[in-house]
Amino acid sequence: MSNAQKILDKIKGDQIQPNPRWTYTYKEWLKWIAYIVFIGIGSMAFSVILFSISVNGFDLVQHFKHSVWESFLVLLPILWLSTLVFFLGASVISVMQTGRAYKYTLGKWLSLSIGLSLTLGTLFFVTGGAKWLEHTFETNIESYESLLEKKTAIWSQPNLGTLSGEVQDSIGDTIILKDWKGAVWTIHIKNTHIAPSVDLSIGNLIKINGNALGDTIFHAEKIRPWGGSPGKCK
Amino acid sequence: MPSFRSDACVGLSDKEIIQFSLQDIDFFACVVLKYEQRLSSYIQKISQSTEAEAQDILQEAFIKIWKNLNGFDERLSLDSWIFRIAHNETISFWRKKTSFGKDKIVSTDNEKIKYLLSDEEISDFDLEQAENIIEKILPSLKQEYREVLVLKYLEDKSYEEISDILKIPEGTVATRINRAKKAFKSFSHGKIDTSILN
Repeated sequence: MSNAQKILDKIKGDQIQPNPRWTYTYKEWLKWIAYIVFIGIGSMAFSVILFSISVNGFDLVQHFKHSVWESFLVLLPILWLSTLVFFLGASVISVMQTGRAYKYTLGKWLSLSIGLSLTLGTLFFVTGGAKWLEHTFETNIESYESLLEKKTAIWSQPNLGTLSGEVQDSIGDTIILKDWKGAVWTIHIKNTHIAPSVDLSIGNLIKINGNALGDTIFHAEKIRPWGGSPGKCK
Repeated sequence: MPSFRSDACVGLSDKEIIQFSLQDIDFFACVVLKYEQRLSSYIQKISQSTEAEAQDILQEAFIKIWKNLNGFDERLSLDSWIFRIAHNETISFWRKKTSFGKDKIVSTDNEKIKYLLSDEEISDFDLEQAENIIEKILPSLKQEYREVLVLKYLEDKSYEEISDILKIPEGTVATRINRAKKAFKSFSHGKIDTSILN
């Protein structure tokens, strides 16, 4: 008996049927849809990272009395960064499973995915999507530390040289500031660099770099506008 | 059951063979008849398996081809698609074994050996020397290098076809072939790049 006949007999005997065509189309579509979804999530994560940078400002690092690296890590939006890296990886794995993906190297697919995530993420940030997303997380997820909370926490460490709050009064070289927890501080502003955009009128929000001289006395080295919504403490 | 008449396959294109097979399973014999010898030889070359083992792998490969007939990607040649399935089947069969291809002798074709060793640096080998090198070195190469050499020089596949069969970029095919060829050259000088060996 020929080999061909043996194989045909085996197929017929075991009643082996070809898999339906739709299963292949379906699987291929599923992989591409997964790729698009993963790129979308990665883009949103990147947009929130951009938003985080715009809210916190990484120039704060140089004013911290901690090590630069430690300060940098505190400011990094680890959750969103991890999300971006995870979904970038997932998108590449997904697209590499598609029919003709092997024609291109892993490096090329990775570059494409990074490029797409960064471009779409920037667009999402520019159109206000990141702010909306961050707010949605803040209002719906109890354990989520919002960027505003993080910003408030970072700028409420007098012992580490940061203070922020609302101006209560301004008298000569001194201003009175109420921090986000309600404590009232006396701030010495002699020889202080005050950013041109800062308005020290009553009710305005500011952030300060400097040194704590006592429990409620602070010497300001640099004053900048708070920028954005009032600070929020949990 | 009456035997399938192989003359029914004459003149059929690859696409027609697939279409007719899906309508009438007996036409699948055309696929088997067209590829069994080439695949059997290919399986033995990349895995250095025995004839009986190659037949087992071949049967499983044809059953897989049958099951996946609807998944045939028409952008590929039927040849590349079938070699890909046979290749995957061979690899998965042999992954279960630990001594993949070691201490085995590979049967070679004199003309193809000349082709494989056609670079000017090694063209002055006599054929016996060349065969000796092939027999010693090919089975010892890492799977990734052995399979590209077999496909390129013993199966006469183009870079594009090798890329389709192994599902790797053509640039990677070229790199592997170059590295494996260099290993052959260095072997002729009594040295060998051990990074490409098993």
